[in-house]
Amino acid sequence: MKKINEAKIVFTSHLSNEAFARTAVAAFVATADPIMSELAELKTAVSEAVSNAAVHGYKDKIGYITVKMRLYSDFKVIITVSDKGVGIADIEKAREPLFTTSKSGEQAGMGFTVMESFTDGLKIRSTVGKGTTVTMKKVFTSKDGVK
Amino acid sequence: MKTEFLKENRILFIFLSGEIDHASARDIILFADSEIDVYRPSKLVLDFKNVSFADSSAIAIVIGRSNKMKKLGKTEKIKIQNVTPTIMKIFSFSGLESYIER
Repeated sequence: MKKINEAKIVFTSHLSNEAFARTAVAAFVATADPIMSELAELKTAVSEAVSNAAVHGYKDKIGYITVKMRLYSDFKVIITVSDKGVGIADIEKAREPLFTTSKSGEQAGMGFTVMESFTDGLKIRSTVGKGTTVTMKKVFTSKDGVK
Repeated sequence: MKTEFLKENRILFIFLSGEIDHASARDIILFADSEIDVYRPSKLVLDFKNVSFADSSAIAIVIGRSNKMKKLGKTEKIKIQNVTPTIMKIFSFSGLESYIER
């Protein structure tokens, strides 16, 4: 399918940028006119990916997070969220519901579960010490109600 | 983000508002915990009516406060009300449906 638009934003891993990232993605996909619930799901998935990069990728340090957005003519959007943080040693384990490396007791360990459930495809590539890239695909319901 | 509360018959209602994410969750947790410590309610109700967005940090807020209520020896623990369908889905991923007041 034809790519009809593309954008890239780079920002620091301050947690306040979670809101910036999901709002930017929402603005980017606005031309595809997604229904409310699908837009809410995409924003939530982006929020999870960005907070993972900030909280787990960079931990106490501040680094750069890149969000790439690509919109296709068949109402499909591909979002990649990358960091150059610590990386994930065991991706399968990280994807398990309730798994968290956090010891504060205030992390639910549901980030990847939410990303997986709220998108139509999730791919994680990670190298320990080099960083992580999460790729998410979301297919919006088109105007005539067909996916 | 403005968080309001109501105390009535040993029930503590916390009215959350705005966007709940990992950035705003910290303040919500601090606020809720201090109100629970002061009032020691027999039941905690978290209201999501004015919440426009929530990610998985909302799960941590609910589970953490539920554990806190259990530690205080409260049996009825915690209820969640006025959640949107998307936020409802997030809660259902971690089996929190039973906390939702319908």
